[in-house]
Amino acid sequence: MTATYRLKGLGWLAISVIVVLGFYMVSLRVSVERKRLETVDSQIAQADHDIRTLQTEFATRANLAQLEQWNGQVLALAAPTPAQYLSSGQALASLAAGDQPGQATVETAQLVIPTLPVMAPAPDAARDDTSAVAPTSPAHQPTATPVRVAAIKPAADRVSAAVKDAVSHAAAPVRRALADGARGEAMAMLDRKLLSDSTLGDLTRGARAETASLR
Amino acid sequence: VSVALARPLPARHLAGKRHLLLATSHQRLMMLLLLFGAGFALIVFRLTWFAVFTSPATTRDAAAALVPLRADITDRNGAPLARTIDAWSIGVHPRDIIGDRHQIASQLAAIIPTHDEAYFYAKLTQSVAFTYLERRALPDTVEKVNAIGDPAIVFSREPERLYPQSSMAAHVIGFVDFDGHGGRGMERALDARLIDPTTRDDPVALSIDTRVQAAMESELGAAMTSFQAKAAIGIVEDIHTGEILAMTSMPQFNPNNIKDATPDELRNNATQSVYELGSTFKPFTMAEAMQSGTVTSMARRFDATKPLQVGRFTIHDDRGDEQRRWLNMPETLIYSSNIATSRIADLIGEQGMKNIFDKLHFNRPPTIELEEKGKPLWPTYWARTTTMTTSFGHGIAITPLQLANAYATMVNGGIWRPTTLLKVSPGAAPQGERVISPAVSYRIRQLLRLVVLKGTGRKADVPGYRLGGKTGTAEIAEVGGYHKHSNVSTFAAAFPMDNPRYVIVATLVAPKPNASSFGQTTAAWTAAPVVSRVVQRVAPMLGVMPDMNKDIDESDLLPLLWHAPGTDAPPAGAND
Repeated sequence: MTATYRLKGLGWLAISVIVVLGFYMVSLRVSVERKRLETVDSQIAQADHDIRTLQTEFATRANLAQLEQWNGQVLALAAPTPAQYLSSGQALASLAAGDQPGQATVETAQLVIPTLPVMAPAPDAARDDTSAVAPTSPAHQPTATPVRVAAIKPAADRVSAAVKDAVSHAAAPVRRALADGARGEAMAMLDRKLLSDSTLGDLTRGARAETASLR
Repeated sequence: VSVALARPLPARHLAGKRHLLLATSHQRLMMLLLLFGAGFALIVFRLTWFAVFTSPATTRDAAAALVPLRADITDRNGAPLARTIDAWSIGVHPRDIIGDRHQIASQLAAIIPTHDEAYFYAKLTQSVAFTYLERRALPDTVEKVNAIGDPAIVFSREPERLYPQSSMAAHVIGFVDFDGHGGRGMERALDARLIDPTTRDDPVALSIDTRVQAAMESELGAAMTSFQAKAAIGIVEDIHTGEILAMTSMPQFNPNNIKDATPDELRNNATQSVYELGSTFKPFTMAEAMQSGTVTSMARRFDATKPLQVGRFTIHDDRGDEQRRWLNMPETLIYSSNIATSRIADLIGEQGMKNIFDKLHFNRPPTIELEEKGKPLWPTYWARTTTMTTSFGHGIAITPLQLANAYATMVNGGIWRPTTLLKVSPGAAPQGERVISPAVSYRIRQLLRLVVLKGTGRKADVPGYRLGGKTGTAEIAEVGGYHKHSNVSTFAAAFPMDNPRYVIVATLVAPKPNASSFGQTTAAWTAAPVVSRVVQRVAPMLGVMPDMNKDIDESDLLPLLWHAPGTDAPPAGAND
């Protein structure tokens, strides 16, 4: 009698231990799951931060003064002239209709090529020319990645590098033109880093061909 | 017995002593126990407290770390103009240096080529606790400097304000001082909003459009260099909302490197400097003449045969523009005749001229968020000659921003609205104040377009964009009179004239003649081409499509222009 009674007590104990342990296991699993969720959340936050820094870096490297300088030196892209805009499909059709062999008219549009007052330092310009003439030098295979921006490690630290570049290269252009040769050299180095010589050469040739055809 | 009697005494004595000792030690043990108990209870209590009341570190904190210390500034399309980033800085505790200072200085000079060895040696021998060697350092530089290995050289990451577009729109954005507060521009005007913890998560959108601003800066910069001008100002404004899409003042500073900026560069010429803007004021005189009913017919003619003598003053027409005949209203504006405009102003009278200038807010600083504002020079004594000279923009000096806004008022149907550098959401434009009637505004649009088609503004015409505007060339006032060879050349325009949307103003201060301007420094040869090129670059981006088949109706004004016998075009005005 007493024995069963005692066993009963032990049974209760065992049951309650199992139940409590079960609860504890559930709670443990929940907390583990929560912990993982938090890790993911913090990873998202970190990624957001990285995106922001990379966006800032991109905006800094691609600032409009820099783009315009490249355009002025190499691409020579012009704003479209009013004659290049067509108001309707009819205008487009009449344009094509007038384009018969023998009666095609070449319209020399008044081009507005944005040019910065800044001129690249003379040695750099010369280098560009040589690369344009002989783009197949062994050092610069045409198969090389044309834009090396992509090769830049997406490390957040790099943003301060971009800052540095922006500060020194997109400074007031007039002042830069007056600055000593050393700064000009630094400018040229940035150009080389971002666009390989062969790419610049190709672009320059393309631009020249286009200008020649327009004349 | 004696033993038996004698023995217990010391034993009892001993026992009593031991008992006492035991009691003391028990007491001490008890106190120790209580002490431990109390300590334990304290720890348990503290742990419970933490468990119950302290919220655990969550991702909310991680997200909060992402909120910048100062809100971003963007342009109207969301392109970043100012951001706060973490940048490396290299500092040194000069007193704690272990190594050889000369050697460290030479190593530093090799790594950081912007300064020489002497500079670094001076830094390393300063008697201060801490000084910066380099701020905004590259990670590579930090690595190399770390390799020097002196424990006195320290590195840290500091929040830094970065302006990705560098010097672009520098006067609009401004910069942040070392104390973390805005030093100029919108950084200063919006300082409280930018650092407020509740709002700094949201970027502030300015009304500036970076593409327009960049085009304006590049064209204006090219003109300024080519004409060796002392300063240049360019403004693009939305006439229906008062939003400034581009505002540039040259020379510019670089907000990323503010310590190199000169006072000349820091000055915002668009809002701080006042200029006599010359003939660009003539449309205001015309508007008042029509609005007040002083001149009711566009065909009414005014004597411009010879210079006008008023008291001891003589009002001339600019050389090259003299017509030496009677001019009607459109001709007065096309040939920019000072004499005829003065005669009109004389008819309007002092009150009328004051009235239109007052309504255009020329007697107070420009209405804009910026704190850098100049006060216009309003004539202190208003004589008959003052009425006449102000009618062609002499004797009264305003900021270029006010001129742009006055042109917006002239062509938008006659409503003056305050200018703003903050983006205005659609439909939220301020009510404004009526200055001239829509009919007069339409006339002004016709007249301005005519100036570009037939008059002094022909250099600014862009086919298809229906540009209309007015040139203005004023000699720079100096002590003891006007400078004969130094001009402020302005071209103020609006486009497209059949349904105006934007006003554009370009000003060059003291341009020097060159080959491209055929030795001229007048606005027609210097500022007008800038406007023409900018319009051609930005108009399609702003949604103004070129159309050769559209234009404002000029059929009622064109017959009024006099043709020399045997020609089918009116005589050309050479310049302004």
